[in-house]
Amino acid sequence: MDPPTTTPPPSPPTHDDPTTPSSMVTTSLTPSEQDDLTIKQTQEIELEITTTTPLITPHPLPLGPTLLPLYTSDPIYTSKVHTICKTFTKIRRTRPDGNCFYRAVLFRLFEVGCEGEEFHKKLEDKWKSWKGVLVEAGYTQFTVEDFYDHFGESLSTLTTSTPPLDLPSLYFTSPATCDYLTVFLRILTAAELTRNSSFYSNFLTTAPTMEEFTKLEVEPMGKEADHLQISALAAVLGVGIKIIYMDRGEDSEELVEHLFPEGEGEYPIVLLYRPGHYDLIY
Amino acid sequence: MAGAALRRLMAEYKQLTLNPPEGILAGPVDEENFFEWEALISGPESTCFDGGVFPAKLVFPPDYPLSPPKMKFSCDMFHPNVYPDGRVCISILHAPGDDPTGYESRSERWSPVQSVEKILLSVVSLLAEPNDESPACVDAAKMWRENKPEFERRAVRLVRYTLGLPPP
Repeated sequence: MDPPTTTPPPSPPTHDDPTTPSSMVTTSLTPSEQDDLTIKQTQEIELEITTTTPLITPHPLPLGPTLLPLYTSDPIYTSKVHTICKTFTKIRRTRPDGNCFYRAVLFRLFEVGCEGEEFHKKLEDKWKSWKGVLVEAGYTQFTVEDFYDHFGESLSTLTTSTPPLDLPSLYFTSPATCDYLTVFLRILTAAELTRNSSFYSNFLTTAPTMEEFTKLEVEPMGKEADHLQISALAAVLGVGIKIIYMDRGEDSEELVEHLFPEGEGEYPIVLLYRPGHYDLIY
Repeated sequence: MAGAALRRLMAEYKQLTLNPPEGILAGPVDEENFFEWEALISGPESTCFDGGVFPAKLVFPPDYPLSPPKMKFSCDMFHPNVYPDGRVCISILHAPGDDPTGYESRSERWSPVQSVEKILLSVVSLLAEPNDESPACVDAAKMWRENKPEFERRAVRLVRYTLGLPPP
């Protein structure tokens, strides 16, 4: 951002203090005004992301042609994209707003729910059991029931009929609609971490207690998901999640993948992780 | 989703009426508009704000509880975490990316499972224990840190003022 243009001070120019940065002009603002400016700038950045990137791309895009142009001057990433393209062919990108993991999982859950009646039925049965999970985790009813109900109502609209449901425009265009569903997955993740905290607490590194971790890192919107959240969500959903990692590690011909839960099961949800971001891949 | 926000606010109001937490009263200013509330907060016991009753306004956004409400004291306030115009600066009222003073990364943030009750209880704790790392009112923070007796005298004057009593 350009520094604000200001009228130079009335004193004659001197060379005594060449280090005084132009940002010093902000010291004339009150703390309240400074804080307002910080908030305004954050909101402008958010708005730019919001207006340029959809919550989720309406159609899967070809994987290679979508990713390769991003890394033309980067041989390591280019080689990794080629490796991934041997196994996967398509990508559905998500808006990088810190909710991308939950939104990608949500989309794929609904998509698979529309592909087969069996999976749909399984999700609906699971949903019924989640009420108990939320209670067990100690949530006050009125803070969670709207999200729970809304998720259930949305699940009940999934259908295998033709033409297929237009999921992106039904649930992934209006931020309010989409965020309501995303919040539910956050609450569900936090509830799973809380009710099995004697197990999950062994892996805490960033917070002293599980209560603090869920309050700081899981429940608030915009907080990215890491291993612990992914393990918990896969467990409580009862649906396998596979993450393909693409980072600046050793140049490798092999896919780097993490399975949640580990094992030989099925992984209907596959995400591509690039540092700080998750997209869906097929 | 204003319908969802209204449902939630009505549920919270009902809950606060049935099980009011000690020292807190809150509800819509006018039952026709659930998006604007008034709250009365008693100053916490054994603090310099003890005995005071502090009125505040809460304004809820149409996408509540996805986004937090805004809170502003409607009486004079002198406190490190209250802006001179009465706005309350506390981490629970801020979304995670929103940290105007840059000191809140490890504090409790707004999330949709928070509630009016939790906000007001946090504000009561804040009255008892100001957070001078991220002052919204520098004068108050400075006095709190460097001249506590004077800060306490100002607080007592505020307490008496909220009760309609003359200064001591």
